[in-house]
Amino acid sequence: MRIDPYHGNELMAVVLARDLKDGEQGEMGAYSEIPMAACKLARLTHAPNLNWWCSATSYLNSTGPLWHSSTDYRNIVGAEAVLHMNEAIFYAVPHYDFFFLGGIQVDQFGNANLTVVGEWAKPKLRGPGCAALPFVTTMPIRSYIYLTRHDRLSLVKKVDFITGVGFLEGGDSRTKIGLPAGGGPCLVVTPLAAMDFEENSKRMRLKSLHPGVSLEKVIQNTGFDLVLPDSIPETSPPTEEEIRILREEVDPYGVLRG
Amino acid sequence: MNLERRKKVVTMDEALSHISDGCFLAIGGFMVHNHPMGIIREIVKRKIRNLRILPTPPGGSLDADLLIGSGCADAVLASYIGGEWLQPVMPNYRRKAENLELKILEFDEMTILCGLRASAQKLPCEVTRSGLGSDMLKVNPLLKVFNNPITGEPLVAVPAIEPDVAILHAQRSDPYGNLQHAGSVFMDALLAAASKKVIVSVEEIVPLDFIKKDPFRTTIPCHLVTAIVKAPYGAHPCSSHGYYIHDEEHIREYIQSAKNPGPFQQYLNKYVDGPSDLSEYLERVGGIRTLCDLRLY
Repeated sequence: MRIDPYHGNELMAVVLARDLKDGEQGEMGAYSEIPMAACKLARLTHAPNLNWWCSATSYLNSTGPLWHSSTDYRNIVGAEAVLHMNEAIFYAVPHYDFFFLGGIQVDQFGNANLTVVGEWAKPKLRGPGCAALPFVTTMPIRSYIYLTRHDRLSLVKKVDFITGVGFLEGGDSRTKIGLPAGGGPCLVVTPLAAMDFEENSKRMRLKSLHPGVSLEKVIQNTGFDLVLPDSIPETSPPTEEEIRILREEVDPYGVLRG
Repeated sequence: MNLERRKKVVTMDEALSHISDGCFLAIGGFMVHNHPMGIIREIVKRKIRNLRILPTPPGGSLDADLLIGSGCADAVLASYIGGEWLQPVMPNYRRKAENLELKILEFDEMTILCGLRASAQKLPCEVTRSGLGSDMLKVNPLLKVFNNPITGEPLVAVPAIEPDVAILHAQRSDPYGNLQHAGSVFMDALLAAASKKVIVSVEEIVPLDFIKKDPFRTTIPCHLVTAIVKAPYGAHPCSSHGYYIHDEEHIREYIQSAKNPGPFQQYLNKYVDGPSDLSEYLERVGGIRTLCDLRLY
């Protein structure tokens, strides 16, 4: 049954949650409401053996309510383990299957920019910094990119600064520069659509349109040519049960709807 | 012979004597949590200049922004300066960076971590894969790519990062500097091991016997600590993990002020230069009522 209205952030959390598999390990950083909701939801719907670390503050499988700040100590209260953040590089990160990242800009090959818009030496917009993106994106694990806006400023042909290493210039350019095989983005989720990457070219490809969003709208709001498959399905809207779990068990304070 | 063990508890004034113009200063905590804000306000008040700062890896917020906006810091080595859901990029940091008034050394979390680990181990460098393929390597001349002698694959060498002083905020210490965190330790222990001096503000000083009852809870051992300052609510408006949460209303006021130099100066007058000490500052931000409201679990 279709629940209407649901918040765009709830839809994004649901889309991400459905892609996470039972028995996997994953990671998110600071300010990660949507990914954290996705991991919590996945554990309660189909993946009881999914383990997730919030590497920002470094705690495991917190079952408390969702907070805006993933570094808030109230997350620790419901956690199963807490590490010094610098220890996570031994005990957590190398054992992940996936992680989540965002950016000011993301380009057609899934490279992400969190550092600077314009020239680095003379920035138009100074971003927060490189965060953990250069590190996690060079690991041989898959990444989920999520953006809370979908427009030509955020989805660009070429990022001004490569902070998170996607498929670089496409094809096999990751392994060509000496990165281990197996890494790179697998899915991009925005308020308008879900996208993946074409197998050989590694160009971003439209996967599904969120309910009520037209193909034209996505094309108009994307700063490069997406690969368009012959048939483009609608993203399955959140089920009644998914929304109930989100609102009653994962996010009782409505952080996602805030 | 005097066999009495030396206590490390000092006044704020004595603690500040370790921090001087041109100092390379590392700041503990993370995001809007566990920053030694009381010490930082004193640095601003004393107009210490030409600081090179390392906001705690992975990320700083008001701590770094206050030092940048007030003109104390003119260079930063950082992987993130933002305020999570409250502010994507801290306002003074953004303005000074865009006006080219700030020297930025572009690092990510892993390269900072490697540099600190190298320093802590007294090694010249540590290695990582982080940076390969990213533009961070193009703009940071300190990071060097090389083919490692074991497998031949390219890696990045990060030079040792050794701050002159690390300033931290922890929840408890005994008089000798054995620290306990009541929440996350973040990267404070590594900062302490990597830095030449370590100054810590704490919520409370507890007897050595309290620490000895449960030594598993000691997060930073005393030999790494130079001085302890008793500073209840010394992390405000940031949280002190396990003791009180961040003061969101005040942080919003800070962010709003920091967006323009005029209002920012008024903020400094009211909350940094005006109060004679930490207690008077705490009165100005709402006193006991506000502080009690922040004690949430």
